[in-house]
Amino acid sequence: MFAKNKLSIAIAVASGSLVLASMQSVQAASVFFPQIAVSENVSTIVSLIWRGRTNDASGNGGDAYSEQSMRNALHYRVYYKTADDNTLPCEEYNYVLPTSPNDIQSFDIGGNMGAAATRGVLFNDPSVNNNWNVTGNDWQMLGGFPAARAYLVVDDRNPRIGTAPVNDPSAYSLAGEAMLIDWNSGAAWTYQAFVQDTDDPTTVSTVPGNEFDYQREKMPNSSPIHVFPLNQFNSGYLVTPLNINDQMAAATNWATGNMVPAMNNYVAQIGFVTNEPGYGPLALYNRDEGGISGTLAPRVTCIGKVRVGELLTQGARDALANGGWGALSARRALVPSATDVNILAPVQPAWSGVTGAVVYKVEYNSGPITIGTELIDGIFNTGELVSPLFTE
Amino acid sequence: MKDVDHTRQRAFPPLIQALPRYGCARLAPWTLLLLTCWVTVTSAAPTLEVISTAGFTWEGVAHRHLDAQGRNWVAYYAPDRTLHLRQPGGGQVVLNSARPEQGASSGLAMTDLAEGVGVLWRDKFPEKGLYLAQSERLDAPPMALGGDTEALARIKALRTDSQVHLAWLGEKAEPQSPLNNIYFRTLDLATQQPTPIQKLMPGLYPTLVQDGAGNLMAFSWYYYGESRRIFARFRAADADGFGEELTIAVADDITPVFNGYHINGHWFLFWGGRSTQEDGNFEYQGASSADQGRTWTPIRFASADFDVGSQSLAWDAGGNIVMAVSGTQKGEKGDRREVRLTRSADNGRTWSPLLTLRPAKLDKNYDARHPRVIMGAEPGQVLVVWEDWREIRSRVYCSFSRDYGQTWVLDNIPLPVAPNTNLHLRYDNDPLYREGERYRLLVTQALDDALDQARLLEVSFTIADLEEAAQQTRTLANTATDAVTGLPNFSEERLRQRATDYWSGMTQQAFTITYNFLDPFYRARYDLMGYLKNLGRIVYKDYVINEVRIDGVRAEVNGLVRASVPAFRSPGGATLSQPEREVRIRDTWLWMGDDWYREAVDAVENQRITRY
Repeated sequence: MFAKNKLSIAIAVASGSLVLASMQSVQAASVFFPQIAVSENVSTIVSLIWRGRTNDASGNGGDAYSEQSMRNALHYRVYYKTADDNTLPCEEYNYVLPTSPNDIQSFDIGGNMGAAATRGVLFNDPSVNNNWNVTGNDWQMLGGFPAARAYLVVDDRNPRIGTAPVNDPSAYSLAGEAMLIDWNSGAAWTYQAFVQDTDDPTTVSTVPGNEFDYQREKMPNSSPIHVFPLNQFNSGYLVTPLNINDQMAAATNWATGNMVPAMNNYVAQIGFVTNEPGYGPLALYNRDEGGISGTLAPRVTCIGKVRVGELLTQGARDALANGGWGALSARRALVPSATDVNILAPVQPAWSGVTGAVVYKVEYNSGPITIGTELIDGIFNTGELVSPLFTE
Repeated sequence: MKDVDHTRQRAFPPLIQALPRYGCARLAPWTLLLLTCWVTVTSAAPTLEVISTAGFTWEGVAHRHLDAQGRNWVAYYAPDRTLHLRQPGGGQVVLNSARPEQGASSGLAMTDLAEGVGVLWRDKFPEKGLYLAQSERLDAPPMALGGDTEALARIKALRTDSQVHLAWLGEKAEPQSPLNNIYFRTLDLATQQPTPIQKLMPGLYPTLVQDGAGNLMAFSWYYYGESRRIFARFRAADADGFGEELTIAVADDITPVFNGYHINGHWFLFWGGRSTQEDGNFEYQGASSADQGRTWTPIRFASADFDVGSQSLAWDAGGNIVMAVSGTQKGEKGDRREVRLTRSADNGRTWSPLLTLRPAKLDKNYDARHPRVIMGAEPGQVLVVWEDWREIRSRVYCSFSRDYGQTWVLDNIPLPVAPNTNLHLRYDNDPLYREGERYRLLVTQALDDALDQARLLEVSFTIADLEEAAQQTRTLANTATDAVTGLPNFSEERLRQRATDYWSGMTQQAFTITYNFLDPFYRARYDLMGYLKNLGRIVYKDYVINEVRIDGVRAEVNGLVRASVPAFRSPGGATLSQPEREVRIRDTWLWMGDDWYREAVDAVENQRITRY
């Protein structure tokens, strides 16, 4: 559905007036790393790829690089918090750092890996076409903090001049991966960053297609998931609330590199909202098909981690010693008051809706456990994007 | 039905076999003396009997019930899913299928019968359904009573005269009907004939109460659609069926704490409901009716944001009601469970504030769970027991009042039985009862600090035993002394020595030694090889203690150490390292009765294995 909308928009533009076709249209892209974590034991290695071009309407790659001042540079925005408090908004760092076509840059965003001499950049990256190794550049954006949780958005600040583009999936400009690694145990978790490689951020749009619009990556409401026995496993949800499209600012903010307003305090509520079709919500079901009520729905501002126990009342927890399943849901809980934007309005969005958050489920053991007849003696530590294969 | 010969097991087993694995030799001498009391049954000291001769687990399900003659019966699930009934004389029988390895039995309810007790559970052998076994009819197979209701494991049963009334949750799919409904039928004990199954009301939590005169009230929470509410249906003793639905309260969401009573002519229901705050935090609520449910008077406890997890209540004929709950005060850092108590002297019309039973400082640091309340032998006497973690290992603590809980003549006294061995109370059974002056409590005892395998015990004691325990000095703090230095192990000097020795071992990578400094909960999960396998890559040197703060059985030791990570290969193939730098170390040390132990904490998630 999203692709169709984009395509229809693009076709409309392409088949529109010649005035449109000949306008300078800004073609840009961004990549979104929803979970970054650093601490004395944990680092995040971010690997960022920039292709440096997009295809034109004929599918031909490359174009003239006529605005050198806007080229070969990536705009990094990292939104972070150093306190273990899901309700706090993030701080924000805002950098423009060099790049080069077809360059990949891997860096330790936490500055833990002894790469101060290389400004956080790893793996013997020569500073030639991408002349990154100059005074003032630093990829250790979260270095110096004892601990921080963050998300990162990188955009290419790349206005493209020429024929109106089409949505060619092969012409991605930006891409990336992140690996969160625990020094002490060697456990690691990797994910691919989300890419938004679309169209004109000069227009405030109410439909998907904005450069910083990651709505499509949100967790579907609701997503049935498994809950392990509560006393044997540690389960949690890494939550990054998303914005909805019509709250994005005009492109002038983007073009100058200023922070797009309100990217540091998006708020989402997360909870188990397990509906019997046509009837009401429960928290979860135990393994004996017994429905259990009593869910809590904490708010997460900007970024945070919610342990599964925080989603359950005490009574529900006692009833779930062996675990069970529930339908996890996230909704955007940011409808400001009409009189004070710093507080919420009394009425908030319903659980079914287009807003929400990117959610990863993480599970690990807190000691050797016996599953069935087998003793699991080591550490396991998994993360998965909560995104069941169905559409709303 | 199997009749297992438990005769040999009824005799007290050799002491070494009976003891759980807590490193008996490391316990303070006086506790060893107390443990020997297990084989001596006297009326002047607490006694302890092992019920679960077939084995048990920390989360194991067990119920007890008195029959019409006042004799106590206990039903419990062994780890192999066999359902055992312990008879008053001590013999045990297996009630469920001859194929327990299939593991299909679940749920448990008990009721007294004209003679003996009835035990109900859900099973799929010989066929899927709800089963009733009667203790005086064990020669007959269990009665299948669930019909085609697709019975689930929530079952309630009670007796009025010669009838047993059953309510259970079923998930029989029917068109135009919610999936979850509460079903009802009655069994005539004389004829052994059940009435037809009645689909009583939609809901999740079957709750059935009687008033002693044959009248019944069934409660439920209707969670469907827009009109989620709590409601009841009343059945008069002489009526053929239940009356219309009687709305008690609007309830958008409730917790599984949902309990009904009949007290001195009034019907009561208590539940964990939502407060009126926008965020919807839970608040403990109730309602009462004096007109057989036609009208209900709300009961609100000043308990904003207090998330109740379990509840217990006792009353007398004079309208005195004492209720204890455990729960968590939301909004505070951490997730500590407290036990709180409220009283009514006017049969539930008004209630005292819901106040903690323990010193406030304990509520911040150590869990307390699942209180149970019982009236004593004399008017005004109330005993409250609960599971308390203030000693790091869980223990049963008690408070006793002679004025219905207004004041406590015995306040926060540890039950003088099996100290330092992790005792556990369940949230969903009725483990406490009284025979004259003697109280009996069903309690789970873990076999070690892994909190997995356990034993089901019945502990009996008197108030005099608690009074004597109150006179004794709390021993965990100050009995053990170091064999070499002669210093009391509880001292700060000893703690500093332990912390220094531990970090000395870490510096020298003498990990077979540092393992023994870690708390026993960790060591119960990880053996030495497991510890060695999961050691990290950080290399330490030059540890220095900056500050020591002892607070009861917990202490914080703050120090500095230099740490580095030598080069290693990451899972992705990259070579990583970390240069040496100074790191602040904040360790928690726990006094476990014989010495200080460092609390093991997962550095990434800040999770510990201890459970307090």
